[in-house]
Amino acid sequence: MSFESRIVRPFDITALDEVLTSTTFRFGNQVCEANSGIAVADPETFSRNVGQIVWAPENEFADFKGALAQGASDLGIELSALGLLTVASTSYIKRSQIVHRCPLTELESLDRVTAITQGERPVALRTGFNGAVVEVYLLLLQELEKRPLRPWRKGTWISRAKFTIDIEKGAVLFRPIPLDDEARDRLDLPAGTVRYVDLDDHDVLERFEESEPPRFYIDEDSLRQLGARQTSAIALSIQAQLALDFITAVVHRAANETDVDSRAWEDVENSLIGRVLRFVAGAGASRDDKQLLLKQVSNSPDRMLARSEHAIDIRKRLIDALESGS
Amino acid sequence: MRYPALSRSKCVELARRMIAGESPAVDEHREWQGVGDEVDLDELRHASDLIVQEMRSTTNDYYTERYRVEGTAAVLLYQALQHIDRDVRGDPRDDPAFWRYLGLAYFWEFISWREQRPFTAGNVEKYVDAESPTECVLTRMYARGASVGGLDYLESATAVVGTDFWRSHVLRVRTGTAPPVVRAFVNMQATHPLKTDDLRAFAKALTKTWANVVPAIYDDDDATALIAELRRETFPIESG
Repeated sequence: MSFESRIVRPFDITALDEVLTSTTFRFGNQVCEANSGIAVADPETFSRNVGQIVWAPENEFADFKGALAQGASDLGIELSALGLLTVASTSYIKRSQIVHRCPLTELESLDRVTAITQGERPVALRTGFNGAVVEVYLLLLQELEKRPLRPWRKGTWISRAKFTIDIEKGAVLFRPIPLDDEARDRLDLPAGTVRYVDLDDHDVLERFEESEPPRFYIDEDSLRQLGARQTSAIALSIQAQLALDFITAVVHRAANETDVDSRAWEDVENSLIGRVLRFVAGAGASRDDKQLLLKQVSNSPDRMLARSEHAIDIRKRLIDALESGS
Repeated sequence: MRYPALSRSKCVELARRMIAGESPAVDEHREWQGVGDEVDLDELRHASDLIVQEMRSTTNDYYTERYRVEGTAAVLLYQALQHIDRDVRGDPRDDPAFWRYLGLAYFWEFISWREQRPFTAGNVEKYVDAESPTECVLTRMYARGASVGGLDYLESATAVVGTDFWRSHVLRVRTGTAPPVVRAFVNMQATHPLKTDDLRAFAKALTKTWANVVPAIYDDDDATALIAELRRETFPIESG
């Protein structure tokens, strides 16, 4: 099976829409490809790493500049109306900051590598607990005359590349909440309930930070017991099963959304289902891998969940637990 | 700089005990994060006192006053947190554990007044655990101050009082990352207010704009023009 998905723009801008696909973000010793993410180990590393935009590989940089100038000409837009803009954002304290701007009239002076952490470090790259997003745009720097199927509003992006930086400790899928009698009453759950994923009105397909985080309730006594022996084989097996329960709830909610099959990976990558898919796909998974998993959420959720078991390594944990108890 | 923090489970446990009328010693459960000198929280204590004073002086209907007092409190909180600096571990304001501590140790009287209805129904976590910055009382107040552009623009943070305006139409969406746009939006709603359904339609049109437009590039003039244009487009009869 093969398929292709792309973001649909209301403009005819094919001359430039992929001009930033080879742009990368170098953060410390890691390289983040366009429209993907990296994770750093801890807040200290996050707030110390040097961040650099690498506009194009060395042997392609001249072509990159040429493509920008030619693309602008093909679109009939003056170079002075277009520019490259880099924005660093962090969602928790809602900060978004322009960290670099280069009008295309100044393209000649653009270096292949642009440091964005020299001088005063951008707020988003010094917060340290909830990660950041760096976005690079080719966009309109000024308003143009309105014409059908043509970008005209100031700030309209023609091409973009997005780089997500997570802190590993912040990239957890869920945080368990003790399910006590009071919570059972409030949630109208029977006394024997051990786990409950409260998705409420969380839209699992929309940007995670714009929705109320889902709550995963786990019986308080069981949670206490798990905490007391959290590195034992049986506890690790139960934790894996709980992770699978959470993923199952999210996948089923996503599968029931009417338009999930029309979504591209880029549409959901910052959503809760995006986090789940990234986790299940594993480190180094390509964009196509994640798109395939998204498709499975819609047309074969049980197969998607089977792959989740593999990602969690539930088989090994189950066998370890059984062996430890024999 | 060292700053106090509170784990999520302890925060929820203590909050429930406080709602039940107990007075647990929050400081016994705090954990210290960071290195170096202890952060000076005197200004926060002062801000908390002023907020409680404001809260106690209300004479009008609580359901109206809670919105107004939250706006005033947002300004006082934002101002009181300006001296707090980042350290090698990052900015404490980005750490939910810091907000959890502040909520219980410094601002509990205000928070429990502001959210008395959900607290009575047993719904406490999201208002104090700081996991969702747009729901937790302190983080949403701080974000309100940040969204208008900080210290020089805090009058905008009180120009529109409804908490739902800020939470649903500013802080939860991309609009809230662009202070000039927030200020222009607030100014529109303060001077030519839209009623609930129309406001929702307008906010939706504004949010939809960000699918193709980068809000960070907008200055005050751009933002004012954009807001006026969207208003004309959304409500042509009103304009005509």
